[in-house]
Amino acid sequence: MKDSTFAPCANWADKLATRYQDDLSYAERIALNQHLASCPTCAAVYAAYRVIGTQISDLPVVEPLPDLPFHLIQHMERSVSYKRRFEPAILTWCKSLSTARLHGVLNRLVQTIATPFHQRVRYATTGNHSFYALQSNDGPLLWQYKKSTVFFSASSMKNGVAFLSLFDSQIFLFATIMHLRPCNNSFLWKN
Amino acid sequence: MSLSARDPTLSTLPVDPVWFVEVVRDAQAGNISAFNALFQYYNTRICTYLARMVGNDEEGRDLAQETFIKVWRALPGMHDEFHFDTWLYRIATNTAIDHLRRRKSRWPLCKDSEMDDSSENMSTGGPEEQVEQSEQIKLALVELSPQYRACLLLQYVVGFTQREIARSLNLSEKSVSIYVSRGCEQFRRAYERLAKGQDATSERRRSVV
Repeated sequence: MKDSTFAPCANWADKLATRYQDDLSYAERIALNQHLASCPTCAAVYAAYRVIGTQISDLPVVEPLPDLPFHLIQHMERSVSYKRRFEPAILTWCKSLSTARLHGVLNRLVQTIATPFHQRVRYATTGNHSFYALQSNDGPLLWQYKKSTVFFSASSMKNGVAFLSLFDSQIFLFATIMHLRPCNNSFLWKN
Repeated sequence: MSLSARDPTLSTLPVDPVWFVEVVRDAQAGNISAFNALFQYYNTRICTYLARMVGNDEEGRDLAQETFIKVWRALPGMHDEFHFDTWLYRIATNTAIDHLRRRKSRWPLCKDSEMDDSSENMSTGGPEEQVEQSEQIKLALVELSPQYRACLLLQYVVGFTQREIARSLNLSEKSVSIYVSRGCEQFRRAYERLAKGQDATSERRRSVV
């Protein structure tokens, strides 16, 4: 923190302040670690930014006001989305899937699986990142399984369990079969 | 924070995501108890975030209330329950930026005056080094542009990934990555300058004594 002449390598400057695993791909993380091992300036900047992160995250929390005037809020005018209010639940799900579709080209192929398990539950995968278990119009969405680094291939159903094969999008080596099934409005899974 | 960006082993999540989505939906439908649950869950976090955004705890408290009122009114129009938190922080960030604009237009020549005052108070010394350091960190944050400050706070205080920050602030991930690193660099320089200033003041006081 005392050296004011930090000048990290231009190619790496934007990556030195990343904090979470999701911020960099696996390949980028490996490359960054290799670079830090060989570049003392970037290593110093990286260390300084870690300290800054700790300083900022360690600031004390601010005690808030304890309550909102709920008795007034209840009568406030709200923005009403009539379209949303009256559309059937299945359309809401489709909209969620449409939003998910924007995340990547592969998401164009949304696959719906006709399930023999539960008459009211439909499963859908967007191909990469997301797997949804949906319920019919009279019930809520049961659950969503989402992981940013994996691609789900087509699923199969057996005795109420969805079998998904998946592989890691970053290293293309990791592949496994995952089992998912609804359970008390939640889900169970294992590799 | 987001239900989507974290590994769905869910052990890191503070609440059951299915329950959480249900609460958001109930609040959307006008259930005041559900909204109260969301308020209780986020109140301290939003208040802390806003206080750091505007550099003033009292204003942060008021802005937190303003934010939740906006959230209540806008909830029926929110279309993605899975990303409620990024949506919530977008409203909070916009509320803070609007407030900073209003403050600037009200006192155009008095930029962050209260911060300057606290800097003077801070240099009067005392044994509480940790408190002084916290004040310096807050002052250094206030010197950043609001966009950089929001990115740093969302990353380090709120715990968003850069993808979540991008979603929350309607920016590209590349821009967020640049803003965070530039924000860190600006912060480092500001903090260094404040530390030097304080050292010089302490030195002067010692020589006077």
